[in-house]
Amino acid sequence: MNEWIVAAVVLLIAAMLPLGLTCLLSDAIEGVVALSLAGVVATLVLLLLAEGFHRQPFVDLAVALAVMSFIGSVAFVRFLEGEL
Amino acid sequence: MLGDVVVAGLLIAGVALELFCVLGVAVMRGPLDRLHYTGPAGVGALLIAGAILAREGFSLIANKGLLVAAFFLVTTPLLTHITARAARLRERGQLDIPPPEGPAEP
Repeated sequence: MNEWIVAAVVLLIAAMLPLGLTCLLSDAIEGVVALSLAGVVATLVLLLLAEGFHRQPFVDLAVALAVMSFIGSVAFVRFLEGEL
Repeated sequence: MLGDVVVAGLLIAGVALELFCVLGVAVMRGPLDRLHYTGPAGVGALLIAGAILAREGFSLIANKGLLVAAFFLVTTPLLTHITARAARLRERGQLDIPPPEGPAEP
């Protein structure tokens, strides 16, 4: 286990748990804030895993997840705004 | 040796900045207060991509890492803006501030 995988595990545990609890326990719009940050963190975890394992397909997953999490967050925000 | 120190420094700084953002979003109360802490997440992504770049040079992983970091640097403020707009609309029902009610003019 190298330093990249350690960083990925630290981010996965120490970041995803508080953000998940925030999504569950807070108002809807505050949950969207936590969801958008969780998308950034999940993308960085995939990036760190790709570097740690030297697997290039993980980076493609990270690129796809970055775009999809942005689109998903925008869709949620527009829905809460009443536009959708 | 110096390269390892740079890589470790960038990696630790990036992860620490992401954890700071998470702490702010989890601890603050109210959507606008929480939104303040989502902004530096793009900078954390740039630091982590810089760590990969410092270790490997311009490899495929480093190039796509830089692409992801640039994407977050552009889209995070955009997402913050539209989320704040939606929060204000949900809270007050309108975006514009109504004019103050003063005394009637003669």
